[in-house]
Amino acid sequence: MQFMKILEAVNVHKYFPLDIFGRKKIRAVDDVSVYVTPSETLAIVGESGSGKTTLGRILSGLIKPDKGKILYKGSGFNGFHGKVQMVFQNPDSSLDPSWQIYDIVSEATNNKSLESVAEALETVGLNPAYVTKYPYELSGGEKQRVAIARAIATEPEVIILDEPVSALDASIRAQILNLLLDLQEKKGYTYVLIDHDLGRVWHISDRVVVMYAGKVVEEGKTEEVFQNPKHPYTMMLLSASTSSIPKPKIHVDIQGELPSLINPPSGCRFRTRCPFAQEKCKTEEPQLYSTSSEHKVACHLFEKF
Amino acid sequence: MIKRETLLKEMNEHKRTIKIATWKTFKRNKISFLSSLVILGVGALSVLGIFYTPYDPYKPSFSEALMPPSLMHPLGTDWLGRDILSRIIAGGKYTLGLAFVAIVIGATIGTFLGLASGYYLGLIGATIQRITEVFLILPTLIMATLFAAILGTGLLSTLLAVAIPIIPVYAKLVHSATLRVRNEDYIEAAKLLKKSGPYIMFNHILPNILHIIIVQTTYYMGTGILTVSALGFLGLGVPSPTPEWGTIVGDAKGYIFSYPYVVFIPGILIAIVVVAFNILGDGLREALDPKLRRLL
Amino acid sequence: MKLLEVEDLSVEYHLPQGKVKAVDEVSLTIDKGEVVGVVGESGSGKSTLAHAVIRLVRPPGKIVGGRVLFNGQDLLKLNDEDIRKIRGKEISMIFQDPSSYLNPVYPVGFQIAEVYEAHNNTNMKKLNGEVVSLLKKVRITDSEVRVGSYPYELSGGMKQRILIAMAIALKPKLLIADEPTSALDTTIQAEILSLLNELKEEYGLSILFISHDIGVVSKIADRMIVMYAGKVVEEGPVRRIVEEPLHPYTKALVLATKTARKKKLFSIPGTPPDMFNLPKGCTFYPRCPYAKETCKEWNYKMIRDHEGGVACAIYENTGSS
Repeated sequence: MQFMKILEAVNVHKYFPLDIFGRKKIRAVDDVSVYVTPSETLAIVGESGSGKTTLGRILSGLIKPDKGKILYKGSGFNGFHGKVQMVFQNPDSSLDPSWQIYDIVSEATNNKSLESVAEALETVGLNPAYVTKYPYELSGGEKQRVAIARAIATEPEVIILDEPVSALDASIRAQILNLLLDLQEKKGYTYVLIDHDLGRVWHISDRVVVMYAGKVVEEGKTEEVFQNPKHPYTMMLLSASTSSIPKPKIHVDIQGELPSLINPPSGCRFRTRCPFAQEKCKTEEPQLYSTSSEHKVACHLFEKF
Repeated sequence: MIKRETLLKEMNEHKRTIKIATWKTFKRNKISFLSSLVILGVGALSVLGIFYTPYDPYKPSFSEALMPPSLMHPLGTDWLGRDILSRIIAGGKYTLGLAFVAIVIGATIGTFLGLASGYYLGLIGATIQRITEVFLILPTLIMATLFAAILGTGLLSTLLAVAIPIIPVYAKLVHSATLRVRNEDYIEAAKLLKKSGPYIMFNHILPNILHIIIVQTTYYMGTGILTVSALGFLGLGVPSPTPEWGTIVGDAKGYIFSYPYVVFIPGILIAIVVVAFNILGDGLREALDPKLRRLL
Repeated sequence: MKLLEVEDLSVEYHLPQGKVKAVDEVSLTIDKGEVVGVVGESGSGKSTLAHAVIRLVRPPGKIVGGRVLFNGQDLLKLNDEDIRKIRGKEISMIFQDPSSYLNPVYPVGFQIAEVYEAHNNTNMKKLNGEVVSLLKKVRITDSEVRVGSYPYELSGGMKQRILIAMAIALKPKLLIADEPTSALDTTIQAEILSLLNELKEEYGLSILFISHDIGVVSKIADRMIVMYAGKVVEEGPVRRIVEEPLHPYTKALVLATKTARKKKLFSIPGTPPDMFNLPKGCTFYPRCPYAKETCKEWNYKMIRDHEGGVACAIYENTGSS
């Protein structure tokens, strides 16, 4: 049970067609495999356009992959079964504005009783009297708490957190992250955190997967990847962060923009921004090489770092 | 600890507060409020007309033909000696009633279609939208005339001739409105709760687009009334001697220069009611706009 | 004479529920070539302050007091035509969501050229060269091609760079940046900050930088003011504020940036104040871990020293007022 992969994506692809013939496609997620084990927190990190949000939606079942499959507790899962829930990025659009808080939370509970709704609200630190209110009467942080209450009301196993605090004020973020940590400690939820901010990833995740232009470029235990990054992109992300996290031995300045996802660069997709790019990087796409037990890197030059 | 009864009471209280605030906003637009009173007044008169009119609207009285407005006949009499006021009161239930029922039927069916095509997209959505667009090529009145020609004259045919062309109008309207809402995160959240398509359409999408439907319906009431009366005027709608307002005007058109009041009084009444519905629509748009709710 | 001197500026909002003093007698100064940061939560008044400086406050908001001296001239006393000459040319502004400030139906090059045209009456056609070099300046690659791009073709970071280009086109003396990086990814944020730093060096540009994130502000500002519920609670050089914060609220903001592995983060207790019903005495009192009974009666006062100041009863008998 310890190492059972509770939720897993196996070689998933997702392309978004740009025209009706599907000739031009945005390759949002291109052959990605990730997994998460019970009560662990997996972070999927990347910039906008890296495919992390799409991957998150695929894991939740909201988007069907074009190729590959999603496994829940080892067996294929199609559609929704309520045990994988999601907390969305934007608190303004994740609650139905025409519903009162009571209805929003009770929709998720099994027995629709007042007690279970009140309990869910108290668990996330909200006064149960809020049940009469409408979403527009709540602040961003409060709305996000309601979203969390709704997610936990179904007694899920896995909660996918899609940039849960990005839209909140810096001073409120800590409250919500603390709440999430608390809940995980008490109830043993498994989290998949999708975020671009490395400070938060450092704070709550056990393992991390770094995505770039639809592909996984590095993965491993958080401490290992942060203290010993092997991919230039990871080093770039770590160098750019304003949070108090370990800084890489090699400082890599930010440069360039994300490449086209319709016609990505040949070979390694990161080579157009990589200060270490070589000939091989243009011709051969790097696979995920293992550097140590769980630490994998998709870079031809990983041994040098 | 909150008790269930107190909670339900408080939740309903809260909903009421919002309804009251909406009402207050509505009242603030004086012209719109006035229009709603005009419509209610005319409507009440028409309902009255089901039970009572000062004179028999059908019985001719040749000796009293074409009398100008007087104390006995406040709006005068027509060429058959029938009291115009009584005819108008009696006719209200046809003009307004038919328009109302036709729009409601058309709106309901159109909304169902629009929700389905907007939510499901894909082949279903595209098919519905293409069929809708075919019907939208011709203006409502021409469509109505076409149906009237096929279905003949009479109450039921007029009803259908007005209701059917309105269906695609609503289908398109609701389809667009649905598109705006269906990608919101709260819809995704409902899917994660294993809710079915119809559940989501009626509980999450419809409530959030209802204000658009209501406002448009107010405008289309005007369209409906014009269409019913236009068909009546052309002789393709409610037939004489039934005093549908458009029919009255149509029958009376020969007298437009000699005894103008026979033609203009019902005509002006139609115009007033249609304008009132339009102004009411503007006022409702302000009052129901969810964005303005935040300023409460 | 300082480039910008804001003296006791106050802005009120008249809403159906009541009157809100969004900005309450705020003062600050910016020197030539200096970057001053304004930090606060949503509702602290920092954004209103930025808009007030450039007289962009619209009803139901209203500037009700104070002076805004730009090069000695009180901007609040100018007529509409004169303030328009200054806006965009001497003082320009960039905002949080670049999409809302770019017209989707015109190419970005055209929109930049409009800035020149509005102030200099030059012919649009002759401006292509200028616009291209401006794009290069804000580090947009393939600038000759990008001139013809439409906003929807550009990423968030690129759009923000276009806005920066529009803001510096006429070489303003002061740039007001209202949460310019809040909607962007951390890596893009770093790039934009580095670009702004570079432009500051090259043009001798002064910047008023607004943000809710004290970590971001400390990467670019020389001095900082911290706002809470419309008032300034602390000000001083960035180094001191970040290393030795004085006001309890500032301390909390700084602590909140510290990240640790798997441990609870520090979070500011309580909830943001209800602006319609501010507590009497010190507005931070309900959430302050050092609060004393006397704070309920404390009158707002900035206690200054040679570097900056703090508005807190704890420091009452030190420094000067």
